[in-house]
Amino acid sequence: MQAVITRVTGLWGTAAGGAGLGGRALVIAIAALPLIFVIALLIVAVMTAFRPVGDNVTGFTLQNFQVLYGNSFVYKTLLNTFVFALWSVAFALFFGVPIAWLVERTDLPGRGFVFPLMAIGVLIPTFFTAMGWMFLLHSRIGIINQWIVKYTPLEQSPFNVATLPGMGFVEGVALSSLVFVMTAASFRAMDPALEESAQIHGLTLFRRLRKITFPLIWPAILAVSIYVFTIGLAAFDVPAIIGMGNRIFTFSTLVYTQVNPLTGAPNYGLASSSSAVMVLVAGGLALWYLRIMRKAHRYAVVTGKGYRPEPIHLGKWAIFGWGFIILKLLLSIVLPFLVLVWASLLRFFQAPSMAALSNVSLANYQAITLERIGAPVLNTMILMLIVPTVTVIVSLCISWVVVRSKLRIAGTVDMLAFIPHAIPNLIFAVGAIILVLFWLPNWVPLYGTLTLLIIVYVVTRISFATRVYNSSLVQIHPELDEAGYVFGLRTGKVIWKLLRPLMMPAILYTWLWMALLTYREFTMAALLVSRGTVTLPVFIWSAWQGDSTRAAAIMVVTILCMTPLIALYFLVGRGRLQMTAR
Amino acid sequence: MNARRKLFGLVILLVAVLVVAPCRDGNTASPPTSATPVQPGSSWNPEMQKLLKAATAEGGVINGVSSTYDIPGFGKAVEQGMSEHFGMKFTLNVIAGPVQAQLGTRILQEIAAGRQASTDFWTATDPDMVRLWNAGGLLKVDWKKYNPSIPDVAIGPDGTSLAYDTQIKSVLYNTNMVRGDDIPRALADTLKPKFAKQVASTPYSTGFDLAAVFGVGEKYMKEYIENLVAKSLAGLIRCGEYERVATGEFAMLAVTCSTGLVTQLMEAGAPIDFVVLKDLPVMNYSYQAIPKNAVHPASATLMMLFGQTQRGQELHWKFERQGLAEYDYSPVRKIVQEKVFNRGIKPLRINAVMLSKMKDELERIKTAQQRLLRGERY
Repeated sequence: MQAVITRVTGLWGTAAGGAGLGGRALVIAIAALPLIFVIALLIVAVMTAFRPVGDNVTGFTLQNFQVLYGNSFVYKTLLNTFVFALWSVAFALFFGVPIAWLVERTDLPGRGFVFPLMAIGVLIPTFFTAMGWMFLLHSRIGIINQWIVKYTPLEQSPFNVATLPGMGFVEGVALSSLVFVMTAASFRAMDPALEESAQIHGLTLFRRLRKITFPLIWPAILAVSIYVFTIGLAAFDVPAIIGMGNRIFTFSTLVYTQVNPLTGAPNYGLASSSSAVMVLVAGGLALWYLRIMRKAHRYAVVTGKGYRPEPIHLGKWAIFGWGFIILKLLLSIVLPFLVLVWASLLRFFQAPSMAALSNVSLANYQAITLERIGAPVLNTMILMLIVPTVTVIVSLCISWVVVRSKLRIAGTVDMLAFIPHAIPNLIFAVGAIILVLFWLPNWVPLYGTLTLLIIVYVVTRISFATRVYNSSLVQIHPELDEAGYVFGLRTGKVIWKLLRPLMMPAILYTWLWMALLTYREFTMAALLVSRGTVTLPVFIWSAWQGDSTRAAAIMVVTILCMTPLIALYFLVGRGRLQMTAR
Repeated sequence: MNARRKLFGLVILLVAVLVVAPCRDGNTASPPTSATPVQPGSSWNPEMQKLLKAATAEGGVINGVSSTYDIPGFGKAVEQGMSEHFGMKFTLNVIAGPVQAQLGTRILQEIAAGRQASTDFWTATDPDMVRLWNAGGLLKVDWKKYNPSIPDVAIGPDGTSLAYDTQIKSVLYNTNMVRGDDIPRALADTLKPKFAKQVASTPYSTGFDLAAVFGVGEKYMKEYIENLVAKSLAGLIRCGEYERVATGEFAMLAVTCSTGLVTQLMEAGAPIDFVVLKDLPVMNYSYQAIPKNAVHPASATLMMLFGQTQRGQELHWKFERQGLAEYDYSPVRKIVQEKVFNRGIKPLRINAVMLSKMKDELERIKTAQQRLLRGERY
């Protein structure tokens, strides 16, 4: 016992020692708070994995693992899932990284507009995007394929979206905005001195990118790749609509019918045991990432001396830059949004045609009233304000512990912060219900409140924010912190006074992005909402169950209502440019 | 200084919202409305009068959670209909929530935790009703005591549920792609070479499981599904994605979960129709039930009784195209007459009581059929 006490006090001493005694402890405490919830939810998830299927069951079993991993078909779906996730990463990086570079590292004219435009994409639900691409590139009913067969010598449809690369394309294009946001901050933080030196020595733009720029932001790209890959592993909308509709099963669609059965007890145990694969894969990737982070000093390009970000002059190449951005926007936003608007004007979802055009009406919009939509909008707005703010604060503290604290548990902390991303959100929601119903005492009135949603949302979002902040912190040399300590600043002040201003673009991007992700969060909300806490996605989804075109109309209206947030994104983008100019 | 003020303002705003947020729960959002009797219900039998009195004590409030509540006007119409029918004011507060199976689990968790139910009624199909009945999660009600004309087939095990909708299992087809003699009459017709890789099914093996247990038998259905997968199956779609047949992505869906949404799409002009097969003439039911720990059980009981009346059935039809075929006044009866009886097909009616006796067998076959549909071995 004494040994344990000594170890704990020793750890605390390490944590609290050095410069800035109280601040350091406070930062660690703030970082620990959400991770306690992660651990609690993780315990519930693990216990759920070993629970037998059924209601009012007791005891533990390996049945879920046997059902899942004792089945050869599962391994086939796992292979599909990996291929799909890899294609998703490839397409997401292909579009997201170059645009982030164009916006952050060049003098591309009007680049401030790119921020709000990229943000719009996240507001469009992926299932509509998937349906839209089916209309365009399905081997039989795809309009593009039909045109090609009709107007070219080709006798067969050249494209088929119902393949693993096709599904990866749809998912990847949708995720490219996320890649953009997660890498933009790192591009911005780079000191161009190395690039300028290379230019003076006669290296071409392409070679400078290959030899200097991309190697320097490799940790950020790796972090975002891991993040997007795990999203691909768990993605449901595209595999369900395009994949399952064409007998291409991924892990998520295989588990889907067990967790969302038409009838019968939902098998949450199977979903929990399925997350074992996710945790293993994510854990392996995270370890790889941590190995790179150990050599973080190699990537530190923001030092205390002469930090002076300057944009690269594009000249006539700006046209190609905008061409690429427009292509991406066309694929990920314009086409899906047009599909959404088109659907909202119809009485049932159908491919564009003259016959369908004659049925266009505004009837779905006329059914939308403030009385019905008011409360869900208010709840969603409250969540969009609180969840990103709290997440930013705790994630900054976690990232500081991971990157700067030199604590032995830094790797464990990072793993814990990443785990919520590897476990299906549904399981966390189920875990949260079990936690508040059975584990917490009745005097903690969390069940059925918006606060419970806030807690669960924050816990599941820290993985996203910490990936961005880890990458940003890696690029800021520790000598800045040390200078702060020399001047007597505590850790909290160092973070607030020195690191926060340098990380401001990353903080703002993640705040806004998490606000948008909160806006569209459905899976957890559907399980956790109660009277008075219904959110907009749950409201829209319930409309979708009965009438998809009416749901489309609500979505179009809400996307238009989100214009202020998009405008804020634009202002952030413009503010960033002004900061750069200064 | 200016930045500090802004920061201070933001902190104040956040604190205010954090203080407000926990309060936005059920108790504050929708306070119970006091019941105002419109007419004394003296014409009711003594049991009904007792029930009405209990509902009045509850304030006539019915709180519900449903995955499909957002049907404009439905809630208000039911409120008005109930108030007029029973002579007292009712307030129906229904919010969106998880799907029926997940909500069922939540109800059982709330019971186990000793909490009040978050919903006063639960809507689900027969297998789920059997599940919660089996787990002891539902309130037992003697429905005949209130309305002796309720058909026996509509009453769930021990009176724990009451059917309000007949679900007709059928093959949905695109009328531009499937015409004349190609319109299937039996399961084997969906296997024609011209429909190779153009037929969809559901990942839930909807209808196939019921036909295997109560109809043509397990072996018959196994052979059919194996042939379907080998010859015609293009993919699996979820219940409600019927528009994918209308768009021509699939020529047929074998088989539908229910026909309410299909009827709505047909009326909207979608090029689809449905046909009941002679070897799969399955009809089962959608039920409503009251959780054992419901806050307003009497009001919820009255709502379910109202659903059996002509007015109640008319409202189910008007807003959902649903209804119980057992009632003469239900429009669904006409559909059953036209699509089943007029074609010489004898329907296979399967209710929750029948399922309760075969639940393990049904579960085994359903799991095996779902595996087959995914391309696994039986």
